[in-house]
Amino acid sequence: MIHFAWNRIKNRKFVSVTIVFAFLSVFLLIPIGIQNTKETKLTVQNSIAEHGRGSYDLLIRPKTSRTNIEKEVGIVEENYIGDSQGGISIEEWQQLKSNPEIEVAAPVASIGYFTGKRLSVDLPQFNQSTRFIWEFYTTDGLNNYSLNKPQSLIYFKESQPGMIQFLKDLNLGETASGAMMEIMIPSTYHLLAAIDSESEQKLANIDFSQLENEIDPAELQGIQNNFRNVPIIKVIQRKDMHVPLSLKLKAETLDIDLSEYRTKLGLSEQDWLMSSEEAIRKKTITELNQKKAITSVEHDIDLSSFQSPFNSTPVQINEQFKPLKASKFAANRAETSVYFIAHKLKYEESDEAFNVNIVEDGSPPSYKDIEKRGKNLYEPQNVPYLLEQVGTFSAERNEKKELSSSPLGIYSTTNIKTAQGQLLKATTIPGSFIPQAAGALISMESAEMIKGPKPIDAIRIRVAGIDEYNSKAQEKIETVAIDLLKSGYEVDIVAGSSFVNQTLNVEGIGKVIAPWTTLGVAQELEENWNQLTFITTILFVAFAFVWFIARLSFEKNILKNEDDLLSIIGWQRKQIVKRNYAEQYFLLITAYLISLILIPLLPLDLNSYIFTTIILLSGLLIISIVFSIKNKQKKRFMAYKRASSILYYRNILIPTMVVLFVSTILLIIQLSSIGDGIVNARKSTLGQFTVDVTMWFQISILISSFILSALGLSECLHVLFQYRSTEIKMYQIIGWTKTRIFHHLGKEVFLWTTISIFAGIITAFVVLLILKYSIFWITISIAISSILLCCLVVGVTIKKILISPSTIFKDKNI
Amino acid sequence: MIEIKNLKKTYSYLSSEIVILNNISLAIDDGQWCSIIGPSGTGKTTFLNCIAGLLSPEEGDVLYEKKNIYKMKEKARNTYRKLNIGFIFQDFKLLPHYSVLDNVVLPLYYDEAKNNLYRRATDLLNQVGIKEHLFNRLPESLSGGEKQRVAIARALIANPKVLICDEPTGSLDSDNRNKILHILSELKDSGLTILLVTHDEEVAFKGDVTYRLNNGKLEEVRGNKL
Repeated sequence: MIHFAWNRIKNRKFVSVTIVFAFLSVFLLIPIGIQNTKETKLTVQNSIAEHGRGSYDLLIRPKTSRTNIEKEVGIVEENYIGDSQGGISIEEWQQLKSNPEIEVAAPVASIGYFTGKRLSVDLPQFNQSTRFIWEFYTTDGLNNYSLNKPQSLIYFKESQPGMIQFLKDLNLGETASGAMMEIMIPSTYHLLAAIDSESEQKLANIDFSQLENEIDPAELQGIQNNFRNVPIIKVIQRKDMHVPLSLKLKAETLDIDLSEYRTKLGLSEQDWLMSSEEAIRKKTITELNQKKAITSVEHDIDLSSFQSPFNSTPVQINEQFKPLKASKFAANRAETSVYFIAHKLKYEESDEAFNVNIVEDGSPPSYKDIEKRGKNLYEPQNVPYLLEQVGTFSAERNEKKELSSSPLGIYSTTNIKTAQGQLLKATTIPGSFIPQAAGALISMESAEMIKGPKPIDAIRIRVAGIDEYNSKAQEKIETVAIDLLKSGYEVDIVAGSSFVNQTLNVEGIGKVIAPWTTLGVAQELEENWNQLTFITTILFVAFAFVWFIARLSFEKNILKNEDDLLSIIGWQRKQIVKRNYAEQYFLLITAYLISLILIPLLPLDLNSYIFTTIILLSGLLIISIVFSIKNKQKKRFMAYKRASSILYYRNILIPTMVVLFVSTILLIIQLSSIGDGIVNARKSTLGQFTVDVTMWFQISILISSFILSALGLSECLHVLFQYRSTEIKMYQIIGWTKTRIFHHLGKEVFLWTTISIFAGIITAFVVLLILKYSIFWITISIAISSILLCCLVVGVTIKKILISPSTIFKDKNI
Repeated sequence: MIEIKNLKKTYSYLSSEIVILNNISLAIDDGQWCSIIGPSGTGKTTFLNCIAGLLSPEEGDVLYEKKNIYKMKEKARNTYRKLNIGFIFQDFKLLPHYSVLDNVVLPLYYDEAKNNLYRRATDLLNQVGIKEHLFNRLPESLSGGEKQRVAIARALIANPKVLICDEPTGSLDSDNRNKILHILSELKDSGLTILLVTHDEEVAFKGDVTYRLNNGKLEEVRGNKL
């Protein structure tokens, strides 16, 4: 038996080597493909474990706080702190804090947009009388917005130290002195938020201890003298944040005489011009504004670096129009108790972008509905509180956390850019569409003073006992989330979220790209990769199984005549079957042994040995089953009218068609999975990261899939043409040229390959639709796979018929 | 008229060369039945293949109507073979998946109008004694004699001038053998040139002239039949 099997192998060297090579490919490519898939999944899991968890896990909010955008699309803006409605009390927060499953419960309350003390800009005193015309403006990075109508100040050169002679209009609350010639910086508004220092520090790793500082004694004295026992709210402001503010200053020299204008104002020689009556002063200023200038220079002076949210730096403009820190300044705290609540932006969904429209025109325009609250010092009622800065804090972004996002972090300086790449900034008014980071912080107790008994807008929870973000961690987070839901809160699982670029159509600016946050992207990523792993494994195993069966069916059909002959000469069926087994066993085991030698040379782990052994054992079992099934072919007398060769050779063609069918499905699904997975993953920064670290694995899986398909298919086609070599020789004998033979057989090949590929396309299409893959990627992968497989089939057919046709006449001339 | 001049054909085996046809010259007249006999393995089939243009010799020429077929391009040689030579084999070489009728029309399937071709095929099959109910049968369901007659019909579809027969009766019983020989005789009488290779002397001597192929050489055994 072994003798006959070995002889058959030896006398069909080329075929035997081809079969061994094909078996070997299956033994190696399948473990490679599956291992790469597992490593991809592991890399993704590790990436998510390392980068998927932000600074906190759960976001607790009052019931009605969820926006429409969140409800519909599941994404939120970064730094989105809501509209300061509050809803959670300090007692409720403290209850949550005492929960042993919760490591950190950090409350945050949006108080509103406040302004700090207004400080002065000291103007330069030149040798000549000068008319200064100034205009403050802010910018959003694209457009400039004027913050005041151009105003003027006229300086007289005859000024003396301590008695600077100038004329200007005084706005409400402004004062003037002869010691300096100043203009007041306009109010700029910044988000004030309230935190609990201890829990916030644990969450954000920022030092907020300065919130406990004492108020400067001199300031305190001044406040108490002027405002008696008004409550003072301690504020720490963000020191690494600046306000976009510039001054357009025009200086025009005038030919004017101090004494002349003293007379006009009804003042004596020792009088200070600003002590004049307001009405006459205004009239004089109007006259002086109309005087023709001798020279004129204009400068744009950037004051941004001097402007912090709540405690600006007083500025002096020198004679070169450069801003410097001023030692003398005026301050006005009249507006510090007035604040604005900005309601939520109203987004309109359209195609792939959200529209943001101007709500109120102005300079700058407002994109939010604004509500004014509080009192200023000019109002008759007493102010309920005053804000006083006692310290600073700095919130530098942790680079590691860039991949994951924690919405309501309140610290991010968002990188919002136009579609052309220009960086945009929040303006100095509360109505900017760009979410502001908190410019200053107060305590929760102070928030209660301003907002009432339920000041907290959200509580950020970090669940206890989690070291890395894996499936166990996800389960624990979900358990805590469910408990909190039952308590009546709005709960979002933030762990696993990541940044995603959202396009906004902003009225007056155009297309803008903003980093928003998708919730639960890590879970989605992991699910997608799990699905891909599962699909790939199934497809690889299915392909190996189908190809094995096809290969063995071939052999069985080829052996049929031999088997009949052996039966005629007296062999028992058992003996014939054993001879056939022996040959296949030998080839399969040879391939297995070679693969054992090659596995250590390849980047494969120990599991590959297990895999190849399983393939071997399965192969041996399949061989035993296939060869022991008796052929029950009914002898046919009549020729088929159509597709006669396809129907006649169907026993050989069907295995090839099945291999082609499975190859088509394998390639289409693999390509679609990878393409669709990559596109979806790239929508978030965490996803982008996982795509980048797993790209090589994806490519190698795809290459493995294609090589497996190509080898399996070409081997089937090779054997098919080999089986019909006599027919091909006959065509040559009767005088057909190679081209004619190619056309004749090509029609047949075209027909059954089209049927197989088409069936594979339909099956893959239905499967992918059920799995909800994008039509785009399904179409692309169908096109690519079909082209590759058709090229393969055509290539093998051309090679077999045109390039190296077999003949009974072993001569090069034929 | 077929002329073979100084034909030499060798095969390589391991490192040595085996001379199969050693400087053979032969002239076959139009309408002549020329038989070649010899034991198995002497090179009879090789000789036939060289004449048919299927196997090029190392030396020598094969001229058909004064044209050297081995100086033609492959396409021209194929055309020469298709239009001038019909083949009959010991194992019939019918394509198993085509019907009897389709097997007959195969050589000219792409070259002639189908209606005309099938009509001529039908006539040929009738001529060789294949009944109409067998026309759509697969060759496997035919007897040996019927298969060989179909093969003859196929060989004649292109109206060849030469019929090359390689052991045409080797697989047949005596009854069928006689039938085939009768058909060949009729064809020869109609003007067809027949070149027949066999190991059976009785079959060989049906022809006009018989040669024996031995040790690569051709020796005449008998002259014209009287």
